[in-house]
Amino acid sequence: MLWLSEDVYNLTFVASGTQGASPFLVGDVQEPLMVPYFGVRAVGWFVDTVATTGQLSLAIGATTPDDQLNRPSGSRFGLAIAGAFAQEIAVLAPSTDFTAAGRQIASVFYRRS
Amino acid sequence: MSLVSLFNGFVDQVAAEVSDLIADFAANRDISLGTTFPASPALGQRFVRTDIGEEFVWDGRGKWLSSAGRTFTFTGSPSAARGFKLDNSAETPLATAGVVLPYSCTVVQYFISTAFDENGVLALNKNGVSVDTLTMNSFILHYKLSTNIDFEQGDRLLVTQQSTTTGTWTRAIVCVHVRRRAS
Repeated sequence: MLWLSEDVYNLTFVASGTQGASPFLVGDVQEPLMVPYFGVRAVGWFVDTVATTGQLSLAIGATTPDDQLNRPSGSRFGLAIAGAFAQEIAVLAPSTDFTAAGRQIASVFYRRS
Repeated sequence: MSLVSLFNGFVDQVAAEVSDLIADFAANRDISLGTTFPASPALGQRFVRTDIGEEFVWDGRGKWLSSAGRTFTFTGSPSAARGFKLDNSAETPLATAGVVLPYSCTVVQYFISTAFDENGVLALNKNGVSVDTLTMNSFILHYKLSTNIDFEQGDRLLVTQQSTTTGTWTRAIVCVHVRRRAS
């Protein structure tokens, strides 16, 4: 049992296809993004991409995938994903996206805990 | 003391506690409804505006703010035309760029997350004019968690890279949390 915020917060990742500008983790070369709350619980997410193959992964608290959605689009809600150090939220793209990711959007919904 | 009187005492005690619980519930369930906020509200008082269809709380900022927060997310881009720039040069905010707000709201917190330790200044802009800044001090996360910045319906909300001291921001995301405001 956890105290969870009434608010559902949102973190939207938009990948432009240019390395360095993409907020997705590609090729495991960069760090996940952080939110300023010591404890989050992901409750859902969705993806919408130009790419039609492969998967995007959601990772909470580390870079180990906690959930996957197939491209080009998909969604899953009703999640309760929390990590031991759940201040980090990442969306991981396939390593083949390293040089040209194409337009991709992933939106993660979470509550503070 | 007989077993009967002990039992009766227990029943009386339970009845009294249940009565207290009912009284507490009745007091706490009193969430008012209407189209006009009450005068002289208490801190934390809730009120459902039936004309807006939303619950508001008399906030510590002295404003009626929605009990449901919203997030606007901005991502960085090599081009000034999309998101905000990441290219190590100060960006001039445009009055015609940004999110057009569909209702009056108050920015209650915002943060920027980057892949690497970054420096510089992030600006929060209203209609092309900076109304708040966040100085970045060589870390991957910078935030303000208790802001009180009003925007009106139709205003444009935009974040920009106001200045940098070194390098280029990498994989930046800015989240601006707002609460709808009513009066």
